[in-house]
Amino acid sequence: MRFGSSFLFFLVGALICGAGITVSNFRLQRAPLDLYVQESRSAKVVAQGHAIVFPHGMNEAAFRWDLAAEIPAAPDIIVLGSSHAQLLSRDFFPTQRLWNLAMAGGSLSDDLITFQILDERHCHPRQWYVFADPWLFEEAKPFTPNWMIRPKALAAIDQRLAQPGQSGHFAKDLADFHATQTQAVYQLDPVLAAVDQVVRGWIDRPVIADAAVYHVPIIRADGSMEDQSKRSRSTAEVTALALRQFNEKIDRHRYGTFAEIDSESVRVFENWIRLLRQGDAGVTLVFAPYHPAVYPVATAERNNRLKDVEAIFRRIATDHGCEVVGNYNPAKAGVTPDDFSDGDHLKVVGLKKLFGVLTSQPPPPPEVR
Amino acid sequence: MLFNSSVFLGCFLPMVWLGWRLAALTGRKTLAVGWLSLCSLAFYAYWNWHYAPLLALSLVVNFYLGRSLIRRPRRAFLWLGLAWNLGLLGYFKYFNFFLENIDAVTGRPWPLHAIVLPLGISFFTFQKIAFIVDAWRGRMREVRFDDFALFVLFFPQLIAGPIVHHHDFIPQLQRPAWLRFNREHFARGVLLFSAGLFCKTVIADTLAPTVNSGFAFVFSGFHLRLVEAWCVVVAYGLQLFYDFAGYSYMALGLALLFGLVLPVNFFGPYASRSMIEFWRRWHITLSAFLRDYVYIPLGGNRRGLAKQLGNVLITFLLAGLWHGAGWTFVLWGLWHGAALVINHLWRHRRSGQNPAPTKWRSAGGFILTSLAVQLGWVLFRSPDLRIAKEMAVSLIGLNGISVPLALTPWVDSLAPVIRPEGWFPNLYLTPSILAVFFVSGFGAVAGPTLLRWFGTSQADVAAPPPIVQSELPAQSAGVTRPQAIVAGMMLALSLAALSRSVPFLYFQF
Repeated sequence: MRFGSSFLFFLVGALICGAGITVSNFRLQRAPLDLYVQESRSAKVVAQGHAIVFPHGMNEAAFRWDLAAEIPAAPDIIVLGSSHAQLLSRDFFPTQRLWNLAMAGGSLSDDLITFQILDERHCHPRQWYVFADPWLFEEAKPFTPNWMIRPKALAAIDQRLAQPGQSGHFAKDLADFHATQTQAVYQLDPVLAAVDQVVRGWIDRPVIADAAVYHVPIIRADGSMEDQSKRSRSTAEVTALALRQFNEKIDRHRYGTFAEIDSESVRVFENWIRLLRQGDAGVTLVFAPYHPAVYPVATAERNNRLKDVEAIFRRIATDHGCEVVGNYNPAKAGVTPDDFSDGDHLKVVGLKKLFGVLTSQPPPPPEVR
Repeated sequence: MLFNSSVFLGCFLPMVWLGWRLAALTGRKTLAVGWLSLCSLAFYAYWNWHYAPLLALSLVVNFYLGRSLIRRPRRAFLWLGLAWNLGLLGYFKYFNFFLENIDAVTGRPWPLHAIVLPLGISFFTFQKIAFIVDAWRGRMREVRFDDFALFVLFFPQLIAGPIVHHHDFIPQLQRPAWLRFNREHFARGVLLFSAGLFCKTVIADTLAPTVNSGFAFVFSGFHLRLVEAWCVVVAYGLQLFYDFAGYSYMALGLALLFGLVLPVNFFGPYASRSMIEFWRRWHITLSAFLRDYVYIPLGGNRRGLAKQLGNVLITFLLAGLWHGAGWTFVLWGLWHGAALVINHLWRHRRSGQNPAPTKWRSAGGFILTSLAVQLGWVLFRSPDLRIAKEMAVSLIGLNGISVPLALTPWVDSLAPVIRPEGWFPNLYLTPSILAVFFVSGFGAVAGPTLLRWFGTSQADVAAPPPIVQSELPAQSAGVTRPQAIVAGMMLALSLAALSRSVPFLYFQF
């Protein structure tokens, strides 16, 4: 084939393929596919009162928000937070209708979106349990930006929490996100993501786990989690795991070590607590303690903000009449190494002790600096 | 600057190519060579300009040492040249590794130096060593400085090979035809570059998140299950192959755009039926260097089987160290050395028998070779020996076997050996990645090699080259219609995948 013809056919190949990608991107932008079919199916099943096997690979934020959109109105208790909160179940409050909407790595924006979804449905509990994780006030946002799944909900709550006449805390992130969405007309990833979701829609079905106790993570019928496999770790194994996780410097923000406390996040959080308290709903801030082997070394680290952050949360609790449960300091929280499954996650027995502290003793006084 | 970046594709490459054509049109070879050398130096300085003077100084020192050796081969100059090149490599690549081991042995902490490894130093050091040694051996004629400079600096091969031999490169610059526009070369260059970019951005970069998620999971102290551990290791083998072979195809394609031919570096390595064959197909230019400048000078196979096997082990120990300053790389080199020793022993034992392999023996050889190579990647990819050990434990199933969730009611009682967590509970592995995994795996093992399909090499996949040698892309009669269309599609897909592209794996070596 001649040189000119070669290039003509080369261009034809490139144009056909390029046009396919561009058209697909345009179509996906105009009419986005439901990218979370598995998550919405799972949420429906849980909201109907079934436990399911936790499907690995499921986007947990999408699932929790779909669940928030599905749960029956007027629950008694709603739990928000991170993986620290996920074992909190109806077993703790047998007479109450509790829904646990906490998600692994839950950040401030995640909590706000969950609240917004519930609020739009006028689904308000009598009591909120909000886990006060230290990274909620971290300036750099450490976790996956889940809010991109529900940008409209974040924009709505952000506007409600903004100071009069000013743009919201997340306004810049949202604007950048929308700019990226409209510019990206020639990318492979959205097309592949759409294909993935179509395939997952065909093959992924929730596996009901009502009948038996399984050895895999289970999402219970109230949204809380259960993981039998973690119970088998001995105390020595857990302590070794806790120290290794800490020493290998993975997820430093988990231990409250970060450059600066973001005053704007504190303000947003405080305004949000004010919203939660509307209608006389009770709010309880919960501090998940750290493993006794980890807490002293974490707090001795440069840039560790655990004590400062806890003081801020306690000040907010005092100002807004919130109850407080627990303490980052395991000695003050009354838990021991036996109560942990790793460096910062309590087992059910530990969590029960934490809430037992509430019923048997008054919470420790706020540490205001 | 990465080949798979917008600044390279949109700005650097068109500018350099146009400048080269303008210089060539004047008919002054020195101008064309000078332009390409300067642009190549700028290409290198774009990454970290602090190291460009080091590269230039090393170039000058090697040129004058080589010229002295060509005129009068003195052993002192040879040692000086080797000491200079290996000294630079030793300091930048191995000094901190050396200190860490002194620490470990003596228990006294030595302060580590803040050393940034100059990009491509392992590759261009070997090129210069070959030049110095051949000059001493009297295998070289007088070389012009500008030709030598372009030989060392030429940007398509500067960062990650192929390790070009001066015999293959410098004579091409002396052909008058070099300055003429060669349509065949140009068309093949575009095809190869598109194919290489596709291998890198669409295949290797798609597999990267799965591999990274698997190793990060183990690094965090958790355990992978049997199926997913194998999936991670094989995915890494494919990622490394498509990443490095993709880079090599791009380098070949870019060189062809400038009328120059670089040696083939990969030729269907995962189709190999023995370890010896594997090293004739994988990183061919490194194998050739190690054979010519390490294995043969050590004595090769000339002094009996025991000595030969010792030489193989030493050569591959050095190959491991060349890849990185760490015990995992040392062990990886020894692993391959040991596999080659076994292979040589097997051949020696069967030397009097029918050499034609049966179908079953070929299949057995393929399976054993694949197993040895894939297990070797565990050491190659693991950041330390603890992770390598953890991966090995998962690979033999001691961390349990995960099966689909739907089987929960039937297999739950078999926990913790069999767990219903899905096939890949702890990996980032989407259906599209799985599709790329299987298709690229099939392509790597059974498909026609890209070079052969594009008519760039006539070598037969089924009959490997009898000795380790670099193959120059063969001339052929024009680009066919399917080749042009497929290459165009590959380019379009690659450009769409550029936004998520990551640096080449071999840049770290």
